[in-house]
Amino acid sequence: MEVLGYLTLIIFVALILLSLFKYINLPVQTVLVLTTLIILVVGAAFRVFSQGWQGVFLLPNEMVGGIILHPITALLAGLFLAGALSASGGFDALKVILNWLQKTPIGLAGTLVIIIMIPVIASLPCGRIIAAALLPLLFAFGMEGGMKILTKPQLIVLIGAFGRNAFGSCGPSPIGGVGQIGEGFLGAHFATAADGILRAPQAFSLFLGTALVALFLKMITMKLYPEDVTLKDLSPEKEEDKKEVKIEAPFKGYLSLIIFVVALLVAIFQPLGKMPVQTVLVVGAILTIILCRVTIQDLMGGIILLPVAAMAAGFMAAGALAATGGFDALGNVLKSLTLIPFLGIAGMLAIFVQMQTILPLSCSRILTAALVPVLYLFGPAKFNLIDWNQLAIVMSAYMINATTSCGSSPLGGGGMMVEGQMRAESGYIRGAYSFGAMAIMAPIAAIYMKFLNLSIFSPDDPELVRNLWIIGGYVVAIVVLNIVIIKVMSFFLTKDIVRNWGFQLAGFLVMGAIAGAVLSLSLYGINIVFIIQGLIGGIIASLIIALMTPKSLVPVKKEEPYPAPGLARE
Amino acid sequence: MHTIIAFLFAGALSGGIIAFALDMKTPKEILQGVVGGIIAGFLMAMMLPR
Repeated sequence: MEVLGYLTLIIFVALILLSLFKYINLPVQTVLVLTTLIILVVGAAFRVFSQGWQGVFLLPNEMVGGIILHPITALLAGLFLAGALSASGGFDALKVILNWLQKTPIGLAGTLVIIIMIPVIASLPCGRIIAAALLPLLFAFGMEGGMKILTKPQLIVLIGAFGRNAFGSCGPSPIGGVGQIGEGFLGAHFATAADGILRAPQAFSLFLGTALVALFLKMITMKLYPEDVTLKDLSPEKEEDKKEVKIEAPFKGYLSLIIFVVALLVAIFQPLGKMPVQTVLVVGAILTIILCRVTIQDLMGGIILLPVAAMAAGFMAAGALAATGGFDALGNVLKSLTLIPFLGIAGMLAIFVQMQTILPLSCSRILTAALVPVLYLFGPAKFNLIDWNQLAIVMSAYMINATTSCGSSPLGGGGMMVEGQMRAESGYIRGAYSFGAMAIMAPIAAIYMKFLNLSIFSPDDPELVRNLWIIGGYVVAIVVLNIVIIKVMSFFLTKDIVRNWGFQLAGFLVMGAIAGAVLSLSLYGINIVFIIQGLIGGIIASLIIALMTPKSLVPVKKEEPYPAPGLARE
Repeated sequence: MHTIIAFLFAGALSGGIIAFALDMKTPKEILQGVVGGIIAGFLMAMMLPR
């Protein structure tokens, strides 16, 4: 069984890597289904000799037993409701509200900040839904969109920061979010974990991470790739030429928005008594269909199947790995890393929390479904490397890092929607997005869980006021450090591509080290050995992440005036 | 209450940084960004379990 576990683990990792580096040109979901079939065949071949035919017949059942249905059905119900919202013009109503907000005292700056943060507040089960709905609105703020309010650099920051927020918002979503996979496991110890033990740490770190990604885009990305966005900049024109785009929404749009918000609040706070989140969401969607007269065709157009397929494929592969001992093998491999003196448990965990930014797939659910069970095994359930509170801290850091990984994925990840909207070459936002997830979000989520959320969900140490001050101190320190590093990197950037990439690498290493050290600090307190081990683990993780950021992007072809020379009609 | 305070703080800090990154650097614009962030932080905190 042990040899089989290592063999199936190698098959899984090899196929994922081949996909990531585009040696296999198939959708990741297809690759995962193939992986599942191969693992089952290999598993069956081993079992014929070790357990006989009875063991072979039990294998598919064991695989299916590893599939957790709750997050899949919650995700489907969430997408159903979001599809109804989209089809009935709910997002148009939201645009009207945002347009009005601009004219209030909070002005354009305040409105743009709220727009950027809307995805995490709405917390839909997939960031692609809100990105598809609102990215065209953001584009409208620029020269080509018609409003002519924002310059090209402002538009890049706005679209990029919005995308960062959107492609992490599926983590803290209470309606089929990625974080619910982790909450299910933590429920083995924390009685109320299913209420959303991982939501606040993820949302908190996503707020701050989004802001620093905006800064990174402005100060680093635009300097690294100056010619790789073909958005038109504002031309120096008269003030009266700036147009106000008229945005209108039908009444049913407002109605569906109200139903959506009410359904979300009922699903989160359960004021009508305990009931499955799926029930609330389906009732909300049916009400929207009836009251807003949405046709089934409209509704289907609003539903995005990628995250469902990704999650199902991820669970299938995870189930096959579990049935053949692959998780035990992965647990043993990672446990053996803890025996390396300079790495230890702290260093191994510092690498583990960054795993999905190292291997960014099109949907974070794929690997989350496979890796969260392994993380769970590190706890008191099997290996006993960490206690329950430490497991919750690591889980929160891991989860926000995981959920944001689709943003930087080159395999059809959410970030590619952003690059398309800002007319940028593929890979433009990868450095900024992965830096945000690695250097800011993971350590801040760990700190939040340690000092505030554990006191709420496991109130053994209810010194909340003291803990708030500690969180404030840590947050200010981490944010200031990030700003300093970004500023220093920006200062040294020139036109030398290799030199620039070297400075970016150095910045990643410094912040990776600090992120690893902060994780160790939140797990073990002030312990020099653990802090150094975390620091080294952070450096290793950040080195791999930085090596995957592109040195330069493929040059964008300049737009030819139409009709292009040579094609002009006679 | 503590969750709300934490998110108001995170919102204000993020709002200020985003306004700066958007080249909105006058004190009024930074303040507007901070207020926008506080509103976003408050809304987020309201949506979380307490």
